[in-house]
Amino acid sequence: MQTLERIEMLDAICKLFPEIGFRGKEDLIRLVELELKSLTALDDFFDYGGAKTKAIAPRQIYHVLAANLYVAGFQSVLLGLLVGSFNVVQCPQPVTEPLLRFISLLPKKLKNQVKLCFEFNQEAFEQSDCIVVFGGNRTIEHFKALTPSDKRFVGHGHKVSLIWVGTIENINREKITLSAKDISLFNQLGCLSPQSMLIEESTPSTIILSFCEALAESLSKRSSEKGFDINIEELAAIKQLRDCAKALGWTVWESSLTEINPWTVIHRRSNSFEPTCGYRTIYVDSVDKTKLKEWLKPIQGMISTVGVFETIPDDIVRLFINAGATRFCSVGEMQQPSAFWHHDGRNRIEDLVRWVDWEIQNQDVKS
Amino acid sequence: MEGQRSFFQDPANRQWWIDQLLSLRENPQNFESLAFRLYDFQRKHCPAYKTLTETIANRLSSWKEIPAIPQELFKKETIFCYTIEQAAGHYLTSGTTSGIQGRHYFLDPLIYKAVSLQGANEAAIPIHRACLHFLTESPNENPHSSLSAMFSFWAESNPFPSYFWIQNKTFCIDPFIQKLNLDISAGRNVGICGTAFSFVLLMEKHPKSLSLPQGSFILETGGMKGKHKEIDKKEFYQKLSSYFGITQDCIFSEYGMTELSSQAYSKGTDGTFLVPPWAKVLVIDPRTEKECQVGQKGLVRWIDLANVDSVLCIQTLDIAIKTQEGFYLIGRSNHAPPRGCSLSIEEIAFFENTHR
Repeated sequence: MQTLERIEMLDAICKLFPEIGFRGKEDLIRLVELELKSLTALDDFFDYGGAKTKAIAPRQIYHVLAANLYVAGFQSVLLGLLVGSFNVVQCPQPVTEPLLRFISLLPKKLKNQVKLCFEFNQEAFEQSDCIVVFGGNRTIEHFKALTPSDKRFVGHGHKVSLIWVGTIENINREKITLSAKDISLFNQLGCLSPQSMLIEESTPSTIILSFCEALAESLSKRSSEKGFDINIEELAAIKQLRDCAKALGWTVWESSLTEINPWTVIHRRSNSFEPTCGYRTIYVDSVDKTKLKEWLKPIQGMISTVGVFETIPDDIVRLFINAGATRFCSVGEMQQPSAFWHHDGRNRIEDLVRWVDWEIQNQDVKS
Repeated sequence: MEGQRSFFQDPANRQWWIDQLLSLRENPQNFESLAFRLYDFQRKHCPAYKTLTETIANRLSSWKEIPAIPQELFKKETIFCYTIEQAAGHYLTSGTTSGIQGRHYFLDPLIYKAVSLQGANEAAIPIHRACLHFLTESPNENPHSSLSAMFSFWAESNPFPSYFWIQNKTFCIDPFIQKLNLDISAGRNVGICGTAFSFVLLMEKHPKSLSLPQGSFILETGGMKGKHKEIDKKEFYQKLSSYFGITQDCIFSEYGMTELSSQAYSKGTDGTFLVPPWAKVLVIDPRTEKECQVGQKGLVRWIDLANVDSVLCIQTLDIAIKTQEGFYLIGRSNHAPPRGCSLSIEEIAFFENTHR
């Protein structure tokens, strides 16, 4: 099956599941062209740097999905199908239902290219030539250790995202509302969810307090929207974070924990990053710009997205890039990356393929 | 007088406090006044508690309203009513979840010693009628383990020989089995005390079962804390019972924590945990901060009057069901599994441990 044929078949599924991030076949075509340089790169050799080259897709990809991250599962399987691989999907129970639905809506020819398993399938793992893993860093390390060096390994571990606010002169309520949206989506559990908003220490404390109050108000307005069920362990984690903040003398704005979507805003002056527990719990961190590098040290290499509140100075951009950030965007857009974004700073389909170069001038090559 | 920082620095006053605690069995009505006295003292002298309680209404109508500090705070801040230089020592939390260890400072270990001994007596654990084998390090090897300290207090007060079987970080299984077999042959009662993990390891490494003399007991504590695949408690007790040849009502479970001075105990697989008279456990609904009804699930909050040098009221993340007499511990769940792909403190610690 040629690439374009697969793209045609995937067009409908992109439209049925807009959360995957592709609007339809146009986006898929563009993705192949951007990453593989030619729409037919997977089908034929094409001219490349004075020679010819062709992308070879894995025969079989073994996907390990994380619990409750069904969108990442959809994306991973879709990209596997796009390059023409057979896909074995190790699927944890919480994401089984959405994944089964996704697969059931695939055209038959593509459906036959996907097999689900509900626990580790040693045989399928060994037969696969590419391993894609989503999950915590322990899970990534575990599967990486299992993967022989001749197989391609692509790991997407947990990441952290932040919002750079900088100096505040006036309270920009529109941007605060957009920030509240970024914080609230997916109950702040995703790698694109901001955990901290960074404000320059030189900002007058009265303005910071007004900023936090406005943020609390925006989060409060979103608190009745459809949310997750929060279990007792998660409630306990929120409560603990709040109580620790109070005992440490930080200012806390909070909703009742009886609300459907409880929220918490904590203003602190800290020397280094510390994650929140999710569930709309955001730190507003006053940081000294000259000490930002130190502040970011605990999450060096683990930063995903930096949301920009209004503007961000070049030296701060460089600092975040050096700390490993892979994406900058405006607030309000943090949870919706471009269809062509580099997930964890890498090309998404190019990462799966290997290239075969043909440098013999006097003989043409057919695929 | 009792509000002054020097009050609990005076050994005579500390002994008076111990006497007050130990008399609570006969005079339980005194619990509240003692709790309020200690609360007033600590909120004046423990800076973090002072900060926390300043945000909360001062007038309390019941000991149940005493504000709790989160257990986690011991990892972030010094929770002590004096300067660190004045501490006689400290115990360290395990740090298994985040890699960060909390510290529990104390002026002297005498109150801990007194309540550790009396707490075991209150729970009817026959620590004075058996040779004691501790599957832990001794305090000499691990001076910052509150569990080792408690076991050493038991050992000191026990007229029979006692042994610590973890030496140089190694569980000395063969010498332990040899000594145990000698005790068994001589018909001596034995008490074997250790973490659940140490018992699992013992049964794995030395699968041949034993037959302890009647009157012997097992005391397990601490759960697996991420060290081993956790097993169901019922299954675990069945295994212990058949391995050691004792009935399940000779198996005790201890529930305590480094940040506290007192312990709760249960007996047998279905045992409700009970606390001694100088401590209380409230099962709290985190949504409302109110005490749960009998049969409801909530978070364990301790009020421990033996915690004189730090803070008496500690909110844990441990989950329990309130029962008529005490509480049934469901899990020491201080790390709910993350539901998304956002980074957690545990992962930062894991990354630092493995990559730096």
